[in-house]
Amino acid sequence: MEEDPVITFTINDELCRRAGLTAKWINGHQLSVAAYNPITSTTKDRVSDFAGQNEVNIFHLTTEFIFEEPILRCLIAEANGVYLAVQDLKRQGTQSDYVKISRTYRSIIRACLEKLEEEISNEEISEEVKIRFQNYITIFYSIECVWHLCEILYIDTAPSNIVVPQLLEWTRFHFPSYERIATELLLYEREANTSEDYWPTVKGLILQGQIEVARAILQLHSLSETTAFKMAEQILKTMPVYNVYGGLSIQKFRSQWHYWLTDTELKLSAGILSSEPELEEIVKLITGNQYSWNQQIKQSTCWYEFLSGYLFYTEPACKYFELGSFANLWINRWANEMGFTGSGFLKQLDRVILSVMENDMNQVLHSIQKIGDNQWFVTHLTDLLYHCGQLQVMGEQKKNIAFSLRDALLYEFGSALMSRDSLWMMGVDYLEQCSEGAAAMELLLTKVPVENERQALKVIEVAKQRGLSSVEREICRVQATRSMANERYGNALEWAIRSKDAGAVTAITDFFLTNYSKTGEMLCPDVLGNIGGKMFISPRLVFLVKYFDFHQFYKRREFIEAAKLLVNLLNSKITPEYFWPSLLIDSIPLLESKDPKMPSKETFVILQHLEMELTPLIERSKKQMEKAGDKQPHILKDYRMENIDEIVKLIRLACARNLARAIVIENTFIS
Amino acid sequence: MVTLLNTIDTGHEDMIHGAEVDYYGLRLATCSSDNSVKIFDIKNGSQTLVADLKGHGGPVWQVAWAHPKYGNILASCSYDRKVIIWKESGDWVKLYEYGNHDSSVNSVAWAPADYGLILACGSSDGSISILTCNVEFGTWDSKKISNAHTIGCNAVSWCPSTVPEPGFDQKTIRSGNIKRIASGGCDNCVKIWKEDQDRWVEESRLEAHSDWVRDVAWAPSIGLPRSQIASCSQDRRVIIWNSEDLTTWTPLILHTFDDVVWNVSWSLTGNILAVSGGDNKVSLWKENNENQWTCISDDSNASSGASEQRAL
Repeated sequence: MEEDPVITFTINDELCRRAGLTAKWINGHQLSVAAYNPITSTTKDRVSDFAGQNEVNIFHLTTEFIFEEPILRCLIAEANGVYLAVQDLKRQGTQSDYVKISRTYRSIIRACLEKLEEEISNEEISEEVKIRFQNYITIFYSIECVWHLCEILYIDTAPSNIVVPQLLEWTRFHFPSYERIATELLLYEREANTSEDYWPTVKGLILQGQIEVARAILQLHSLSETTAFKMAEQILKTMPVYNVYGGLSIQKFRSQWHYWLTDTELKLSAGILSSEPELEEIVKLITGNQYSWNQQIKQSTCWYEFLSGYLFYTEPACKYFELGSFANLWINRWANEMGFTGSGFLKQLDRVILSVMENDMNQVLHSIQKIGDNQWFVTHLTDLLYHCGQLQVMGEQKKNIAFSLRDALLYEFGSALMSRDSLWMMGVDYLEQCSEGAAAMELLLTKVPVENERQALKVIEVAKQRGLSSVEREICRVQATRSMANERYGNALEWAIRSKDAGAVTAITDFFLTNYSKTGEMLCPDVLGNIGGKMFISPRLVFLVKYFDFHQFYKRREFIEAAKLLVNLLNSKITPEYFWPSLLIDSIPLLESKDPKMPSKETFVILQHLEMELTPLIERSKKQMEKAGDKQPHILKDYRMENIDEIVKLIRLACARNLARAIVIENTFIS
Repeated sequence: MVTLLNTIDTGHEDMIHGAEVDYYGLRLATCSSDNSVKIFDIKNGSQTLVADLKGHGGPVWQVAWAHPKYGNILASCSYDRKVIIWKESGDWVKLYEYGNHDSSVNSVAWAPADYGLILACGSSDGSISILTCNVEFGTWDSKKISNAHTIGCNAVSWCPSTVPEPGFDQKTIRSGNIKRIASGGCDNCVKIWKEDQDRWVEESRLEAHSDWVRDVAWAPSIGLPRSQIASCSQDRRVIIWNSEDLTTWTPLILHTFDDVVWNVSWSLTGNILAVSGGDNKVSLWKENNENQWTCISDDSNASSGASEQRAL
C-alpha cells in the first residue's frame, strides 16, 4: 500500500510568520489557529516585540463538508433511511433483500446525479456553483460506478461465481451511448445505414456483447438480403452463448464453442465476407481476433470499457477469482495500445475498479475513503457488505477485522454528522450502531447548539429515547440558566425542576422569595400553582409552594385554612432566614381580624417564633454590622433598620390583642 | 479538504495568548499582551465585539469558558498574578478576583461541569490553586497545592468526569466523585493530582520528558476503559500517556519534532490531536486501529510573499 501524502494547508499571516502559531480544536470539525509566542518564567511584563505592528488575527479552519448543499443533503437523508432498513434486517436478510437495498442506494445516487445535472443546465447559476456541482457529479458518478461493480461482484453474485453476464450489464449501464444511438437507428428502419453512426454503433454493440441488438440493426441495412449479410447473420445467430442455467457443462460448451470458432475462422479465411469489410471486422471481433480488438482498444475512453465484452467472447465462463488476472492482462494490453508507460496513467476511479476486480478489499476501502464525499460511500458500503456477510478484511494478525472496521467508520461518520448543526439527528443513527457510540453521543448531544426551547426539546427527546438521562438533565440545566438571564423566571423554575438539580432549584426559588419580600409580588403564579409533587426536589421549593398556597387561601378568604398553613410554615423548620420578617408580617392581618382566626395556642407559637427566631436574628445582624463598622441602612437583605423594629413591635401588639380576644372566646366556648 | 472558514481580526494591540470558543461555539474570548480580554460574537461567520474587559495589570495568558449551566462565565489569568472570573449579567462584570499567587498565573481550566463551578490555576510560583464556587451563596473557596512543580507550573488539564472507574463494570460505574488534574511544569514532569477528602495529593508523576513541559491535555472520554494524556515539551517531543487503571501510565512518543512544541489540543471526541510549536506548523495526528499514530495534515503559515492561502 502506498504511503498517503500528508495534506498541507497554508495560512498567509504576517504575525504568524514572525511569531509562530498555535492551534486549538473548537468542536468536531473546526480548528482555531492564531499567532503564538510562548510565555516563560523570564517573560517580562512589557509589550512584546510584536506589539502594534501587525493585525492580530484568529483563523478558523474547517474540513470541507459537502452535505450542506441541499441536493446532497437530500441524498444523505434518503440514504439514512435505507441504512436504517439495513440495520433492521439484523444480518438475517436474504440475498435478494440486500440486492434490493444496494439498488435502492444506487437509485438514490442516480436521482442525485440527475438533479445535479439539471442544476448545471440551468442558465442562471453562477460559474462557481457550476464548477462545484460538476465536482459533485464526478464524485458521485465514481461512487455509482464502483458501487454497481461491488454489487454484482459481492452482493448479487451469480451461481458458481460466473461474472461475465453481470459485467456486461455493468458496462452497458456506464457506457450507454451505443445503446442510445441503437434505439434511434431502430426507429429509422430501412435507411438506418445512411446514418454515419451506423457502423460505429454496430461495432460498439458487438464490443459490449450486445449481439441481439447488433443483429436487429444489421437487419435494417439496405443490403441485408445479400449473401454476405446472410452469412454474417448465420454466424452471429449460431454463436454459442454460455449460460449457467443452460444445462451445458463448461466442457461441453467449450467444445461447442471451438467447433463454431473453427468453422467461422475457416469462413473468414475463405474470404466469404471480404466484400463487406465492416461485416468482416465484426465477425473477427466475435472470434476474439487479437488484431481487431487491439484496433478497437484505441477507441476506448478508459481501460475497462471493453474488458467485459472481450471476456464475453474469449472467457465467458470466467469466475470472480480469475477476474483479477484477466483484468491485469487487459490493462497491460490497453496501456500498450494507448502508448502509456509507467503507472501514472490510471486515474483514481480506474485504480479502484481494478482493486474491486482483484478482490483486494483492503485497497478498495482504503481508496474510496479519499473520494471526497466525507466518507459517506465507504461507510455505507462497508456497512452493507458487513450485513450481508461479504466483508472480508484482513488486519495485521490475519484476523478478519470487518466488525471493527465498520465500527470505526460508523463512529467517524456519525461524529462528523453530529458536529454539524443541522445533521446531528442523523448522526445519532450511526453512532447508535457502534460499540463506542453511546459515550460519544452523550458528549456530542450536549454540544448541539441549542438556540431556542424547541431545539432543546428536540435534543432532549433524542436523548430520552436513548436513555441518556444525564444529557437531558444537562440541557435542562442550561435552559434554566438561560431563562433566568432572560428574566423568564417561571420558565427557569420549570427547567430547573426538570434538570433534577436541587441546587439550581433552590437558587431560583430563593430568587422568587427574595423578590416577594422586596416587592410583595409573587412571580409566575400559574407556574407555582402547577408544581405539585415535583416540589419535593428542594425543601426551599416546598416552602415556596406552601407559602404560595397560603396566599391562595388568603385570596379566597379562607382565613382559617390560611392561618393553619401559616402556623405550619412557621413550625416547618424550612423557612429561610431572610424570609422570617415576611412570614411574620403575614400573620398581622390574621391576628388583627375582629373575629379571631388564630386560636390562642397558635398565637403563642407566633410569639415564640418572633422571640426565638426573628429577634435573635436581628440582634445578630446588628452586632455583625457594628463589628464590621458597616453603616448599611438595610438588615436581613431588604429591611431598613428603622422599619424592622417597628415591624417587631407591630407583631407583638397584634399577638397580644389577638390573644386577648382568643382567650375570651375560647373560655366562653368551653364554659 | 481544509478550507478557511473565517478570519477574525481581534483588534488587539499585541500578541494574543489565548483564543477560546465557548461551549456551543457561538462566542470567542481572546486575551493578549495588551492586558485586555475581548469577547466576540461569532455566529454565522460574522464577528462582533461584545466586550473589552480591562482588569488585569499585565499580559493575560489564558482564558477559559465555564459550562453554560452556570451562566456566561469566563476566567482569565495574567502575569499580574491575578485570576479574574467574569460574568455576563447584562454587561460583563468582575464576579471574583483571586490574588493568592506569588508569581504569574499561566494556566486556568474549569473542572468538568458535573463537579460544580471549579477552576484550577497553575502558576509560575510552582503552585496550583483550586477555586470552588458555592453557587448558592456566590462565595468562593480556595485550596492550594504548594510546590506542585519546582520553578513553575505551565499547564493544567482536568480528567473528564466520565472515565470508567477501573475494577468496576465499565458500563455503569463512573469515577464520579474522584477529581483528578494533570499538570505540566518546569521540573520536566507531568503530574496527576487527585482529590482525597479535602486535600489534593500527588497520585502519579510521569517522567519521560527531558525539558520543561509546556502543555498537557487530558483526552475526552468516550467510554473506553482507558485514559489518555498528551503532553508536549521543549525537548521537542509529544508524548501520549496511556493508562487503563489511572495509576500506571505508559508513555508513547508520538513524534520528535524539529523544534520546541508549545501546544497540544484534542478534538471533541478525542480522535484527532492538534500539535503546534516553534516550527511554525500545526500538525494533526490520528490513532489507527492498531494504536499507531499518523500525521494526517499539516497546517503551516506562509513563508511570506504569497497573497492568498493555498491548499497544497
